[in-house]
Amino acid sequence: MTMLSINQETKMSEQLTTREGADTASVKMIVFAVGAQEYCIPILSVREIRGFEKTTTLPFAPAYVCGAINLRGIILTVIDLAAYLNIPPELENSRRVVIIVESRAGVVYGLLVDRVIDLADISTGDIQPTSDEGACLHGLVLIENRMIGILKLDTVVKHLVGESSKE
Amino acid sequence: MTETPTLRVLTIDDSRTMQSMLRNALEGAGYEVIQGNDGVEGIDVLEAATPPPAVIITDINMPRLDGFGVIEAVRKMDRFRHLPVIVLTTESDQEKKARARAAGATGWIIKPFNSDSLVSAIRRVTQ
Amino acid sequence: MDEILEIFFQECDEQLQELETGLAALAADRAEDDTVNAVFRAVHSIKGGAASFGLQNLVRFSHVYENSLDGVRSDRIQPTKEIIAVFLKSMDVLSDLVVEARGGASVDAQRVDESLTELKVVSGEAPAATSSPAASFDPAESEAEAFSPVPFEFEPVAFDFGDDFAEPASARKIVTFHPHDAMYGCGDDARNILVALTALAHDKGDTAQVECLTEALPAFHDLLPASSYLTWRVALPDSVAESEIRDAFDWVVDSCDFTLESDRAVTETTNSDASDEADAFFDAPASISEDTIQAMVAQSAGQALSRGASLPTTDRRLTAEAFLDDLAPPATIQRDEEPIALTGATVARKAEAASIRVDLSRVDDLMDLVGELVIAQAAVQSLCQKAGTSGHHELMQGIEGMQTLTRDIQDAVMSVRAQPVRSVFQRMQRVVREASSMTQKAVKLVLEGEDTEVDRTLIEKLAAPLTHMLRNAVDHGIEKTEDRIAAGKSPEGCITLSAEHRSGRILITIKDDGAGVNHKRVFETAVKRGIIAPDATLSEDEINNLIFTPGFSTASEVSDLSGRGVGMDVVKQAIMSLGGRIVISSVAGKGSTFSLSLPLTLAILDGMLISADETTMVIPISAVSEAIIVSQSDVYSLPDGTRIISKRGECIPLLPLGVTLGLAGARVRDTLEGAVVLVVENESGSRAALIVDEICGQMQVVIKSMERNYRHIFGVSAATILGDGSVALILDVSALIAAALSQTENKAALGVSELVN
Repeated sequence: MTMLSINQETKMSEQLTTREGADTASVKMIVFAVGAQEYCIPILSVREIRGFEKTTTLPFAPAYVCGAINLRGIILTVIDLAAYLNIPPELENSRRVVIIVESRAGVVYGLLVDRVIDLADISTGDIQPTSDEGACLHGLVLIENRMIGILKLDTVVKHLVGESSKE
Repeated sequence: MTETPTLRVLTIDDSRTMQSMLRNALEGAGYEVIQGNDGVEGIDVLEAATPPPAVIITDINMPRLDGFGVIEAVRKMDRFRHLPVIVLTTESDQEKKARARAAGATGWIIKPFNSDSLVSAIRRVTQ
Repeated sequence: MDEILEIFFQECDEQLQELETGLAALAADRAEDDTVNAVFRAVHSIKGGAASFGLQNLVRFSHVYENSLDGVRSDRIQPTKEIIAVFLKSMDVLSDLVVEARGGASVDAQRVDESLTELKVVSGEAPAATSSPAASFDPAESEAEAFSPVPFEFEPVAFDFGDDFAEPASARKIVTFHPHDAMYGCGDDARNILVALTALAHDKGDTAQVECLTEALPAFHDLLPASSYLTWRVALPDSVAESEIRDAFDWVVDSCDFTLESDRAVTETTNSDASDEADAFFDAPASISEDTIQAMVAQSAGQALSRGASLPTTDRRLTAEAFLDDLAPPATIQRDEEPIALTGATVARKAEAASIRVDLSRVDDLMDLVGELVIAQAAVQSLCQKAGTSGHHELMQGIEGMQTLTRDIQDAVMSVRAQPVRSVFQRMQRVVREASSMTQKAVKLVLEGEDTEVDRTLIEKLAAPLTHMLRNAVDHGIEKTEDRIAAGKSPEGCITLSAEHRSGRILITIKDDGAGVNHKRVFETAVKRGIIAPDATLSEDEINNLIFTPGFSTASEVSDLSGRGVGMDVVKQAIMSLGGRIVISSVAGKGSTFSLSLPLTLAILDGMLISADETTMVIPISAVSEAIIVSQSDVYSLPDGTRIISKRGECIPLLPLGVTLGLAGARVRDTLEGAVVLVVENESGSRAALIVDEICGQMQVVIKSMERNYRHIFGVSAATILGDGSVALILDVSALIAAALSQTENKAALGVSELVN
């Protein structure tokens, strides 16, 4: 397992989406911090990263939905990951960014995180499943003694689109 | 056969179906296709085409200016007086043929055509 | 090929529409010169395409149809009312056959045969007496056969004139031909025939001998440039079939003397007839190369200049032509004069000509981009204002100019997407036709203002409600024929469907000359259905509007036609969901009129910008009936805590917008004195008064979907992007009014559960 900086040239050209059980697939992930905790998501699902801007509050939205923003004509919602994951956010953070993610079904949304740390190649074989089933995380992975949570994006989208709002 | 430059064919037909079929067949045979969607447009395209087409294939029944009108118009144009014009039409009756002929049609192809017949008809006048 | 088939079906739809337009014009006696031609062409086109794809049912039917239309086109048949009725009926069959060919429901064979028979009676192919459908079947079949693809047998030729000369086989076929002047006038050339014949020989692994007979060639100064003097003789191997040779002359049988002899008798003549000049071209017995043919043709003065500029042999001929032009032959003068008329006509037509087909998604993309431009422009403007550049007169002027331009571009793009309502209106002819035959009522549909343009997104959504309303008009609006006669009306009912632009919206009216709404019966039905109390006093208008109430149906027996479980309430819903309103007016004994007012587009909206609890939102202006400053004395509290405002004697429920939408920090104010309230109205006239903080202005906003990346939000229909790039929600007024009317508790509970999540 290697750590790579964002700018570092990588040999990873054929990246895969995370599939539990697949033995040694290596997935390039973007690692970011929410509060004191680190999380990652596959880089392939990321459309862009932008600064946090004022959002428009949406009626009847869950508390973790900051509101809507305009991304070059497309309206999308931003999720406050700290609230979503129930973690106290960093205070007075001017480095907060929004990671714009596009789901496989084409739903675009933003994840508000405290800061982006780096990129990492994560071997799916190294993922340790978490105890709580079907929740926010695929599992955990250890990178240079840091425990990093692998965010389950499908669950995020489900919450967002509201297919099962009672999740 | 000797190396020939790509020949242009002007097809005039108000039916997009026919135009697509013509384009398919002709481009498949290595011709360059320019199109007019009725008689008037066909004449406009002809006047503007550089290089000019080597042959015109025209439908008969069209709005604004029909196939007979196209042929007559072409025959009256200095540059194209002798340009082969092949009439493409479902009319198989002799009267239509005769009228097309009198107007100055070089030949005709009966629709529905297959691409071989189309190509050989064009070769017949462009060899 | 599948793509082309798809194009064909698209075109069929267009042709059917063309057909409908034309037949409608004929029926209304406002046919123009080209109408009959256009009608004929439409069917003809469908036939042509269908034949190419081997769609035999379609070919068979359109062929017979075309024949009948041809009778009208050639003035052989007078298009009487009855005949037009046959054409219309056949058009419906044809339209269904297209659907069938497309893989849709198959068409009842008997219906097809019936129409075929009727068409043949029209064209005189079948006796007017009712012939059995079976009898009509056979001729149709044979006609279809006659029309099956005729292969143009004429094998592609590949040949090489440079081949070694093979010794002529014993027996030869001798072809002699002399082109008339006319052949050259038709863009053909002796050379073409020579090439084709040579190719035939080559196909048999043999060669052709060609000689040119020039005895008819006059002295040079007598030479007429456009005249044909040469005769050609070609000796072909006997293995070349006579039919092949005749095929080569297929196009020129009428413009050249052509004889085909076999062998010996002529072999001699060949030699003896050969002139010196001919000999000069080739050593007898000549094997011929392409060059030779070209040289021969080129140097044979007269015909030489009879070729267009498109062939490789041009150079030398042009020289000859230039030279001969000095002789000013009559043909040259003639051709100079005639094109003038044509060019004039061409120019005149050019103006109405050019149109292009563009993929819809491209126009939509353009629309999106223009939306962005509008926003960006507004952003620049507001930034400049913030930066305090108002002193920079020129800068402000530039920005204003940009604003105007941006709006013009937006209008221009909108107009690209706009389409006349004709397409959907014409579909209604069939609806009425079928409805009238089903109800046994004679009804005609008159269309007005079909050229009125609206955004295409809207057009697609108009068909369903219009269909239902027209069926309704035939079924319930128009009286039975005997009742009409008894009432002294024309036995034929008339429905007018019209469209016009009115103050930035489109107004569509459906007017029938039937009996009008039967107020007594509507009232009774409404009572029976428990919609109103038996002792209710209602105005005529209110009674009329009862038919829009869910579950209401006036027909005492549910008819096949409109009793499909869909009532006028559904129509109203559909219209409302398009941002439209529907109103009915009725005069007893004279008829009813439904008026639909719709926005011109579903892409942009005239909005009123308001703010409530620090959130800027947009309310469709079409829904706002008035804005009032509240005086506390007009406000009453109900026992359940809701408040109402009394306005000119009418009580309107008050809705604190921020609270209703569950906005963070929203609170209910104790006093409403001086508060700004917007009275909004839904389509059935129900009202609610929205309490807002401020009205910020009006603007045209681009409608963006909220559900694309999120979910449906109660009280919100869509969103838009404001000048500063921020998102503003567009409110769903109908939902808000519904919330105000029914108790808000349920909605509040829903909101709370969402918040808890």
